[in-house]
Amino acid sequence: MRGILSIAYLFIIVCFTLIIGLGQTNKIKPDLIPRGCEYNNIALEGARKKAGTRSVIILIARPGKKDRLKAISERRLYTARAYLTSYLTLPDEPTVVTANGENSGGLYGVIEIYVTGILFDSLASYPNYELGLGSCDSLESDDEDSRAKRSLLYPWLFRPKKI
Amino acid sequence: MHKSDPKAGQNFDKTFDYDNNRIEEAGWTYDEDGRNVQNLSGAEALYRTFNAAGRLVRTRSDSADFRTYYDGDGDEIKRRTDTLNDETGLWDAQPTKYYIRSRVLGGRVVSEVWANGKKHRSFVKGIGNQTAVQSAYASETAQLNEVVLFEYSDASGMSYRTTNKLGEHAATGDGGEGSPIETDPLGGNIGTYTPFITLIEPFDPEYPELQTYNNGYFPQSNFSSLYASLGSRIADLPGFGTNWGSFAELGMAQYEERLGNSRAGRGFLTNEEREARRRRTPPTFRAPASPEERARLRALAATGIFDSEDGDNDDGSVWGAQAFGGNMANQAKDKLSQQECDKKIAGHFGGEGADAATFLDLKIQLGEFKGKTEERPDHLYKSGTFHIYTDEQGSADEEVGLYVPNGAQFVSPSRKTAGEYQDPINGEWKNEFVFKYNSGPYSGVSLYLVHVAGTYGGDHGGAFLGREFINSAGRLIGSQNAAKISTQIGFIGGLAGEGKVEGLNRHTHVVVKRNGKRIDPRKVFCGW
Repeated sequence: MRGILSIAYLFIIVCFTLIIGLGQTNKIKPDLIPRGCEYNNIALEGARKKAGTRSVIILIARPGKKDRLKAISERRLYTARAYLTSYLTLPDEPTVVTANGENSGGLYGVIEIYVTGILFDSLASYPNYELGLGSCDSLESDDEDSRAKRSLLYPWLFRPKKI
Repeated sequence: MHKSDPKAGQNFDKTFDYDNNRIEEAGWTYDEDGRNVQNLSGAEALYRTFNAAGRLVRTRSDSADFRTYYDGDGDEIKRRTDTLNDETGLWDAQPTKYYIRSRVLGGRVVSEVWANGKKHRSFVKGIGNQTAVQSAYASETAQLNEVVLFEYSDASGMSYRTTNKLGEHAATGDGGEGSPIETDPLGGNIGTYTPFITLIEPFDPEYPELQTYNNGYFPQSNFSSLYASLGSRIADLPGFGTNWGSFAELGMAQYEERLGNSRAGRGFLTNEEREARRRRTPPTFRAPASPEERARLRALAATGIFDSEDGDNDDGSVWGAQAFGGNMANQAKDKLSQQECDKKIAGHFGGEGADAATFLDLKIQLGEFKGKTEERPDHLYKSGTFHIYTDEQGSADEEVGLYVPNGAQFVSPSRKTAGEYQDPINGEWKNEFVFKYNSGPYSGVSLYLVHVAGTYGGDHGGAFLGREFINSAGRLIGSQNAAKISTQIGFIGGLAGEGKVEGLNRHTHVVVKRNGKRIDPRKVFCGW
């Protein structure tokens, strides 16, 4: 009974947040620009720290106006989620909920990060580019292990041996 | 498992969380079939690779690399071993072994040979069991050194011993060929000595404060009482009077009995005999600390960086024990602390006021985390990376020199725009310059410096190192830092690292590789 109540409670929170999140298109800063791979890493690590083990992190992907690739928004979403749950090796794994939202209304695609139902940060991506996360170094500096880690995220997800 | 031994000055807590029969800890990963492919012991990771048939084909750590090759029947036919040479930093290939098997004996190994065909060992079979091993060569090139070991095992197979042709103990240590084996009920070799006791620098009454260096468990005792503890067998140690000790003692007693050396009572050696044995083989303690080292340790103890109670750092960090090796007593004599290491790296790579981060990133300026120390192992040491900041705040307007330790050679970039490039993944413009060492203390090390300022050329001014830092022949001509140990190659915080973005401070980050593999910078620069 307690488990059912917990699930119901989680479901209500997620729905409530999604409703709020999907309706916040106009609240995105018009000057939001890509702030780079390292910033993205820091932002997601900060979100994870803030969420701890009890709070849910909700990620909402919004494609930009010039994102021609249909799947790019979902790929960014996957990468952000995988970074939180697989790439980082901190002991506790957070609960992450992902959803696709409507167009960002701007040039850049956006991943919005919600923690405890409140917008924590927004990560922008250049049109048709992946969300920069994980290793921010050149491919030349990789070794076997870092290549393996890259393969957890797009664009290397399904072709780790071709890096 | 939770064990501790205050008497011996050791803290060997091992606590794991299990889920679905798997250890749920950072650094422990499993494949889809549930095989452990990575585990973490202290700061050293162990990686395992399995082939499609599920057989272990490679085991790799920071110091050794074992590869196993199988035939079509799944029997091992070849084994290659590489070990890391601590002095040269290079991987030394050990002689490859080939295994010759007998189909008549059910595929058992009857002989081991080296790559050049020389025999290494042959096995003599009794009725169903192996009874002796003939070792023909000590190594691939050594002189003939023929030894025959006779093997003994009890009926349960839980105890194993060897003798030479005279019936004397062939080996008494753990790990070498012919070493005694004692197994637990599941068949694992638990050895005959506690694996948790390591040699500790003896207490020096002249420097009592050094006690904190030994994790707070080091008793204020004299050398002899500690020595007695180190020499004790596992059955004598607190907490080991039950299964573990009993198995070991039982096995040794049986073995001695077969050799006709039966002893009454629990121990088969008298105290006098033990003492005599100790005198014959004195333990090798670390060299006494130099006056400078002692002064450094005294200063370290005074900083309170290390929690003398749990060996952890004092900020409550979940990563602390791992980052600091868990137990300072086990550190190498010249191993720097985390704080000292960052300072050393800052002094080698940055100009005056620069700050470095290998584990605790002090420079995150994001929302409520602004100004707080954040642990970023994945982004830093675990990726073989460190950050170098303009100052403690990573001030964007500060122009601080960026240096590389002397002896570095510039590696010409292969990209069309030299060091500047657009990241193919996220479209971000960056630059990166590579230096390598072919000799000296950093021989085999390569440095990849990302976000270098003081550059020119390309679409974003990041293509080439400044002309005051490198000449047309690629030779570094920059000024030396104050300590005369590093050469300037530019400034901290170039393309994409300028610190102009809120939440991101001005920095350069450096990827450290040794022999082509990313390595924890602390291992290269700080004796980790």
